[in-house]
Amino acid sequence: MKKILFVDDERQMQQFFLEGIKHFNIPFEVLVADNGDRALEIVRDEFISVVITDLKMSRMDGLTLLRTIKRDFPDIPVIIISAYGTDKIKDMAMKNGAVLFLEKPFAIEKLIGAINAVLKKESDGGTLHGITPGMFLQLIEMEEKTCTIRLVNPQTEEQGVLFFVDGNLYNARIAGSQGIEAAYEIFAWDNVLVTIQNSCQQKNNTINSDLQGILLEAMRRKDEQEEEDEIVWLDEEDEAPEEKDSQLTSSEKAVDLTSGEIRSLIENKLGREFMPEDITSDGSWDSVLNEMTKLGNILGAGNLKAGFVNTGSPVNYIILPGKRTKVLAMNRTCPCDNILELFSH
Amino acid sequence: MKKLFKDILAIDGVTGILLFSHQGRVIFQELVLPCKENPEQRDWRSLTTVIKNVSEADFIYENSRIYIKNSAAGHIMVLMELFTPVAMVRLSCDMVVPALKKKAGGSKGFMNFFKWK
Repeated sequence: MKKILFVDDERQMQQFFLEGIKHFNIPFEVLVADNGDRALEIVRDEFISVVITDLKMSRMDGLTLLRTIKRDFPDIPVIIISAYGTDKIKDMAMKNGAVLFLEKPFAIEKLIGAINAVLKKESDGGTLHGITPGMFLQLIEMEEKTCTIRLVNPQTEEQGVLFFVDGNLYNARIAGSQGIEAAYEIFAWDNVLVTIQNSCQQKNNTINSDLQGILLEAMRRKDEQEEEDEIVWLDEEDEAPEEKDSQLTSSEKAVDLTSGEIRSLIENKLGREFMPEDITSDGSWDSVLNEMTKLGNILGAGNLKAGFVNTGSPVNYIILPGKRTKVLAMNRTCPCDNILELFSH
Repeated sequence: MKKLFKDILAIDGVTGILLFSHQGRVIFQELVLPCKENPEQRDWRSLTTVIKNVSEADFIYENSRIYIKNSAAGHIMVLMELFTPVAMVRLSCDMVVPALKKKAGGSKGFMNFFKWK
């Protein structure tokens, strides 16, 4: 859910906005701050989509807040509301990056309309569902696009934003973090919802690193995390052993490789061009492995070592039996024979 | 049917071919080496169900390799030695698929009831 920050030191105005927005049944979460200082704290800790601020406030006025937000969080649109709407002030606000100046008093419909218009701009380049950031972002780099990409991780509902200028990643932001660390975090997400804005407010490059390197580091960190999770998972399994399917005899004998080991094996033996798009522990292939193990037993083929599957989807799969079946999603242009042979030895 | 698969069987290292109908029956079988159990005598519905969306697959075992190709008539499974040139097997299967489609289309569903010779 998108978060809107409403900044005003007048309780009545806060109430007016909170009550007013309720009537529109809009899926926004509204956060409220009494002054600019508090507003900045919220902007740093939360993932805010729009800031609406009054100008005259005791601790950090609206104009300073606007300037700070535009300097540190240039993608966040700021709407100014004020009862002191002289031309000079309006002009100053707009020059400092405000998207709109609304004079108090105003009809709530007008403000809601402005918020909607601002948020609509965030997806003027389109919306994509179920994307794995890696390949998609490499396309952005290849096409040298200048855009702002907002991502939502459906598993955790975390939100993030990436700033691209001429295909270079200039900055990344998630709640509480900016720069390369935020990029590592975002690049490890799966099946994200992506909205593309065909412009980028970020002017300076805070990343200064190539996308491929960031992607590999993000994958390494993800694998490391998965391995840690796996250790916990296996420990739990030791405490309460489950009865295993008798069909999985070949899988039990197979040596489990971690995702990190799989990646380094591929990189060392075959090269980076053979690197999988994704490696997951996926039990949904176990029934195929069971049936192929059965067939292999009857035909005297011995233990099942590895499998390649093409289902006609955009990726091919290499399946490695083990205590937890590992599935490598491979780009269709990547020749899988070498990988299959590598893991069958 | 044997004629249809003769080029595949002639590839060095290929030790057998099975054609499973989508309903899980073995509708053609040619195995060079003896096996533990006659595959024809089993119901392979559970296998054909789990691979119904698989258009092509390749499984490597300790001693053999099984290449799978989906066709209109069912799943072709080629059993081979580990040294077999799988690209050749793949190509030969690609060439057989249109003929199987023709055969399956021509038989108007009868292939589900009769074993092909």
